Amino acid sequence: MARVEIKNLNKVFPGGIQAVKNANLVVEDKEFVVLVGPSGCGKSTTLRMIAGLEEVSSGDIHIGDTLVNDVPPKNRDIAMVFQNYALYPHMTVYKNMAFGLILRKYPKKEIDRRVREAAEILGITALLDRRPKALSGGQRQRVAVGRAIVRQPKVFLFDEPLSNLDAKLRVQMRTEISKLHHRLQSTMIYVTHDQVEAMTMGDRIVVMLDGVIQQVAPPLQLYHHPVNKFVAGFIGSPPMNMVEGRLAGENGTVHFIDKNDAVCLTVPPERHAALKGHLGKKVTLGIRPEHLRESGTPQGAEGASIKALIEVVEPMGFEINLYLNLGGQSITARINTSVEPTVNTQHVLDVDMHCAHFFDMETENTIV
Amino acid sequence: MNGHSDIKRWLLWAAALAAGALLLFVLWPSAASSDEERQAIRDGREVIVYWDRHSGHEHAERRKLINEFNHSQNEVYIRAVPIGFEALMEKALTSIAGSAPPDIMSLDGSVICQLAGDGLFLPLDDFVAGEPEIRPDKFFPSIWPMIKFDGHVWVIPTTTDIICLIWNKQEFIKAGLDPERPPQTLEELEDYAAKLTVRKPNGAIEQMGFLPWLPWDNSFMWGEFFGGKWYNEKTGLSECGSDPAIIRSFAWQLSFTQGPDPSKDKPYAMDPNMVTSFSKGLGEYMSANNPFYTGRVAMMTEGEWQVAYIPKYAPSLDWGVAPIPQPAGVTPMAYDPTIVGDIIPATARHPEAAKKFLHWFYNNRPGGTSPVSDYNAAIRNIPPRIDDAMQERFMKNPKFSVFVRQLLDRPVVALPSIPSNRLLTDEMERQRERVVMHETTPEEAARMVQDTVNREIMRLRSLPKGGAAK
Amino acid sequence: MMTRMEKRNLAMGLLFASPWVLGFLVFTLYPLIMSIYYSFTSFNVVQPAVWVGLDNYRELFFKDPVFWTALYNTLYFTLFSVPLCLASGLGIAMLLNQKLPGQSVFRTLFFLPSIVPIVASAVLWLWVLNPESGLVNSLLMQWFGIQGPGWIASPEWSKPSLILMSVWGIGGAMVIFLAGLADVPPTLYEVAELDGAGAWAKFRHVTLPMLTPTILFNLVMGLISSFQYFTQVYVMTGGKGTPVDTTMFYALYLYRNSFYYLRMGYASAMAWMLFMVILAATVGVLVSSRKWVFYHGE
Repeated sequence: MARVEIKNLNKVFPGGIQAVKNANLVVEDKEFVVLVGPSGCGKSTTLRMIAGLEEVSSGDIHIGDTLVNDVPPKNRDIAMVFQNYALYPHMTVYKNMAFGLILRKYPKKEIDRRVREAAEILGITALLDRRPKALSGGQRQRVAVGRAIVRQPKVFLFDEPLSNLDAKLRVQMRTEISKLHHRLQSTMIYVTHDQVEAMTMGDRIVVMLDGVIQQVAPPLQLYHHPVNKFVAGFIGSPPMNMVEGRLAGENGTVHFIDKNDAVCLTVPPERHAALKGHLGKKVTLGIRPEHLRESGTPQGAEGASIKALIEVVEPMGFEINLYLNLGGQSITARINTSVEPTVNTQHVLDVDMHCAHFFDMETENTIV
Repeated sequence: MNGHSDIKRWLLWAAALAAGALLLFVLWPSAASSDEERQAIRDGREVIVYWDRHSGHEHAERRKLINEFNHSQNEVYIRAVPIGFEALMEKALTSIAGSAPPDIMSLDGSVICQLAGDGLFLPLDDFVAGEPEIRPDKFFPSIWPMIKFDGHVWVIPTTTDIICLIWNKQEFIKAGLDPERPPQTLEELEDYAAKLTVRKPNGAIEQMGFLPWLPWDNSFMWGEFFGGKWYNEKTGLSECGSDPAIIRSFAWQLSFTQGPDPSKDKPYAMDPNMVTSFSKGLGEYMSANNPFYTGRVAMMTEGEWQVAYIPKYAPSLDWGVAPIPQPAGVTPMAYDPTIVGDIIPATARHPEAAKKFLHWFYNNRPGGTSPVSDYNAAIRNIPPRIDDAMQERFMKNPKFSVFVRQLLDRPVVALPSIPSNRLLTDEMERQRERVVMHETTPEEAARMVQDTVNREIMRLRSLPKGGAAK
Repeated sequence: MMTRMEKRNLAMGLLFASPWVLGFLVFTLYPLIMSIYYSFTSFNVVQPAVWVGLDNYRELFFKDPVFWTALYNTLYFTLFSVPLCLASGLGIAMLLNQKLPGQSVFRTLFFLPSIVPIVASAVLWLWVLNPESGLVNSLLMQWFGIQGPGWIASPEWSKPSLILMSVWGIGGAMVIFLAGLADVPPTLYEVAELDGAGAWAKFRHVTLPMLTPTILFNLVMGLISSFQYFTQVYVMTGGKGTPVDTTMFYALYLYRNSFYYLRMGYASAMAWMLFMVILAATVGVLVSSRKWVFYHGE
């Protein structure tokens, strides 16, 4: 198996659009790394450069110990799974999976062994004689994965493989790919725009925006310690609430005051040190929906509550999502209560300022 | 909703208008084509239409005479339309059968024979009986048998043709032959052909002395000249399959492509593929590139119209005309390839007006010649009436007179006047081609012609007769 | 029962479709049906048709050698011309699919011949293939010192000449192939690339299978039109099928029978035989296509 390393990678398309800007990343051997970001962020381009389907404008890509910049795709010892499955329509499932091995002139027996093994793993043994036309979307994607498996490559590349599937199937395939990773113990790089997929599957997640890698971290670290406002907002569902305002400090207290002067939240003392440099400056307060709680619950911090108008109530069962209007800004709260609040009433929520994030309004970088 | 129905009403109006316009276009009385014609309509003259199987200069001459006719009287006005000979029969057939024919039309003899039996033409027996100038004995004796069908007169002949041998005197001199002495016998023709043929170093033909099927297939003529009969008038069937003279004529044509070894007895024989290549590569017939004009073919069987064509396309060409050499022991004959004549369609709307024109066309003008004679003089065809042809303007031209003389001096052979004569000529050409390309034998070829033609004759015979008196 | 609205809509629909409906009934359906009847008669347009039963068909099969020659020539032409046109149409389409500067100019140039009127191009070819002074033979002589064949004039070369000439008209097929090529998902090429496929394997396993629906369409259209091959040979041989019937094609012989010899009944029988042949060929192709045509996607 192999480690993948990209150094100072750039991709400029003809016409001057720079899709990837100076990307650096190390994917360790046997690691499952997910590239995530909104469409156009350069994640697919990065993956395609690793595969060799796009030429590198500048920078280096190593797979194992080899610099592969000029190695043709077929010799990079990688396998790739595409969003639209890309199965050969005129070949049976068996032939589709065996084709790469046939072209590489593997012995027939070996091919047969590998295909059957892969089919077994994916539960598609019964489909081996069918043509892709006769398969469902999920089955097709399994074949596409099987085709990658039989090659026993150093690195698996997945380019949004689940996007064409319906929601239920997507969840199921998600876990199957995760299981596959544990079973095969190989390096996998997975591209998706879906942060849920990223969070649930990746050992580490690479968040990209506008061609730039924003943060590389394990899922929970990403969740709890986003490096900037974009990562904070992108990871998590419903997304983090962002309230613009400023920090005011006097007499050893620090307050966050929103831009309309309608909200004043007291910042707990343990965070004062980190915010010292930003007193009196404009900041964005980031607060995850679950850190807004029903007023009066034990964790509620004194001097940190807001009153907002409930616009929509979404009972999820165990929790309730509230969509509120706070002086013109939309915020979301995820509360745990047995009483369903009424729409169009003012509601008081406590803000857990211990878990709040502060971002510099100019650089958007995390302050704390 | 209101706007919607407005659009609908508007669309309906548009559709109705379009339909109306279309109807008007279809039903509009055949539009007058000139001011003169509009004047004629205003004057209450009968306006009739003439379809000319010729176009080009021949039609121009016809039109001059029709103009003269239009000005000579004030009862009938003729509009002349050049139709051309492409798809002539289809046009004649569809217009007459579809009841939208011209009032008078010129057609080729072969087409007339194909259609006459079906009652498409008005019988002209009564008209001819009342016209002393169109009495059959005024014509060359070979003319009427060529166009009689079912014992009726269907057509008044206006022009006829004769095929002779024409030779290029320049080429004769180059080949060391006497330019004033054409070949007299078949053997001489073969000998001259060999001497006049020039080959390229690789054996390809540079210039050809003579080929029996240039400028077009002449199998009918050669078969008859060899003493054969393609069609037996008495039995009404073809018996050429067992006619040794017909088979000999095929064999003789074949002898021209039994080369390339220019050996012993047939020095004129050539390689069949080289002959095809050569003949396909020849220039356009009605142009200065006509192979005879350019000297690429030194001798050809051609019609009297060349007396008009050659001065036009190859004014400096020095050429001669002679009767076609024929095998010894057979009476020398002349070949009349076709007559062209005027018919009146059975469905014509103004047959009497058409007859007035025919009367005018065949009668001498006071103190002068007849229009039909002038027409032939202008286009250099042979007028079918003896007196016309004997006029000085035809006979004083020594070349033209050789052609005319054939009609008087020799028995004239012509295609039988049977409905299947187009099939006959096509099949003769097909089989001749197969023979000279060594695809079949002369015997087999003659038998095939007989079979094909008789098959069609028998088919036509098996059908109930009718239609003639529609 | 139809509502008032539906009736109105039907009437309006029929009104606006009526030009086509009338034209179809009068100029297509009626002649089609009548020609079945005429094929069992002796008919010369002028006289009423006379019932002769199967005589026309009997004569075709047992008495008329030219019918068999014409059928043979047509099948021979179809057998070579259709695959050749498909292959060259596809080949040129693939070349024109390369992303090069001036791509649209090249596409236009290669499409141009197929909008030249057939008669004009036939006359042009007559000059080009003139055995004596034609462009081809002159160049053969000048460049290689070879005496070219008689092309259309030679019994051996006449059909091959026409087959080669038919490539002149591939523009239509080419455009359809181009559309088909544009439809091949690029990821399939990428997958093949990763599978280790070279240019040939990509063509064989991606381009060709993905184009099979296009090939099927062009094949069927090509078959139908080549069975009815007429205009070029009519112009180039003066309607005679020379030399020695080697270019006597089925449609040409049919035309001669109907309009030269006024044997409309016989010609109708010929037309229906041709229809049967085309039908058989087309059905054969369509049935076999289940085995070799692949549609991607759903």
